[in-house]
Amino acid sequence: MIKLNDVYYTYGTGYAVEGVSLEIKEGEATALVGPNGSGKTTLAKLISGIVKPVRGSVYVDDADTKKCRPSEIIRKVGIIFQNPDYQLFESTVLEEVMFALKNMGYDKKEAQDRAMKALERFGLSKYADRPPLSLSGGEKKRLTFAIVYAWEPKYIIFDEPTVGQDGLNLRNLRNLIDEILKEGKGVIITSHDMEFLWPLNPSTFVVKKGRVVWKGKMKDLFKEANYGDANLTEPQLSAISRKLYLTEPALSVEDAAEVIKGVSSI
Amino acid sequence: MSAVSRAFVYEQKDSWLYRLNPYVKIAAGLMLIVASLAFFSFKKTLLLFVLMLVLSASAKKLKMNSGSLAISAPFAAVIFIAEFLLGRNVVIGFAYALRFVNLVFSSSIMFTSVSPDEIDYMVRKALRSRDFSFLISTTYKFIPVLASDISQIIEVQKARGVDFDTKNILKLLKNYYTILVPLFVVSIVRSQQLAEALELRGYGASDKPTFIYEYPFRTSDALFMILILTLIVYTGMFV
Repeated sequence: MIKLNDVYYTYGTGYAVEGVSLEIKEGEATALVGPNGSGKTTLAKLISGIVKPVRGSVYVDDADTKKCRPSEIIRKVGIIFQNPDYQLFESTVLEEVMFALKNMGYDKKEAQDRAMKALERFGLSKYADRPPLSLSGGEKKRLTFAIVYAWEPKYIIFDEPTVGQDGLNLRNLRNLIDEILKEGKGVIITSHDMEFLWPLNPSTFVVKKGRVVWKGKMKDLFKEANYGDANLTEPQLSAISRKLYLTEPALSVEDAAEVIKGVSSI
Repeated sequence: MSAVSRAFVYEQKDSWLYRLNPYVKIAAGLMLIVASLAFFSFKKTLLLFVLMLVLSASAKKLKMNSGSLAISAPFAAVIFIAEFLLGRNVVIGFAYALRFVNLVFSSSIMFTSVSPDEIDYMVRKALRSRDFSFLISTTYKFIPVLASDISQIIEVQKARGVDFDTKNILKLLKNYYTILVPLFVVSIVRSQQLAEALELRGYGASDKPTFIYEYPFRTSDALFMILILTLIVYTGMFV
């Protein structure tokens, strides 16, 4: 379990995160949602131990991130950042995936096996000997997934994963998240793409100006009148469910179709 | 951006200093830098330091410029200790250390007071070369952007297990290599985007492009120049 107790963080002027307390369970989907600049990514960095709270504490399975090096925490919490260009520097795609594994002390053989397995998982094994910077935007993004997937952390954080992704990549991303959840790992997603998050029905924390202003299951978020304060757009399935006066909103198109069929047959 | 890097990057504030003519701000900044180098005695360096503190505080820049004190303090301490070990008087050692602090502080005041647009204006007027002035002002504008890129790349590489807290200097230097390539790539991509954006907005379409802002020389500019010149000359000659 990941536990944040009254956490504060600042970049120098004002607090980017202010008095946040939350719990993230293993094997669950969790969403940190909110407008741009609300502190979602800072929370993700705090959870992965890359930055340390200036007040309060962050525990990842009983390990206090303040007392551990980032390299110790990331073994459990892998984070996939939005911009692939910020991390690619090795000569080949294979070496790029192996880089983190070597940092973690895997011997060459095991690092290579894990890296190849991860590349295969993301359809990139044919590019193993190519320079990472020669890949297309979508392939680079998949490579960043493979990099983290290779060491199989217990929790994977996706920072704004849907930005700049086309329909096929979005479907692949959803499949990947479903598979990770089936493997019993935790998935934490920072996003304001409510359409993408809705079918997952994650445990949701709405972040606004560095504070958590709402928490609960996503299906309940839009039942409340003040969600608009956080500049969130209601997903279409949620809006349709409200118009149909459903007590439990439809989480998929199939669910909604069943309900509509039922109504029209009366 | 950290407080230290903020000490040398322009940030708009609502105060009298920002309303001065850019030539006056540059001239005053250069005078303070020259005075920092020229003053050796304890009294003179101390007076100059107080003058700059008052200037910075009255212009609502003290918090911004205080980062320069954090940068210069360790070096000033080394200078003081070195002077002491060389058998110099403690007061002289203190004056030499303060001289270094003054030099960094005066540079911070100048760099944080003149905007990239003002630099562009001055260089264009002086050299009559728009390309060169644009090159200088864009470089200046991109310092905070690059600083932000570096901090983001460091965080991303930390997430891959790169240890930037190691005390092994060789390992640290090797680890910093992981920043260079991404920074280079991001900078090239950004410069290409900037070049395309400039072309799309008509850069180079006219041989004589107009200025959006003009900076007239006002009475307040003259008064400020006289005041700062008098204070520096008086401190230099009569203290």
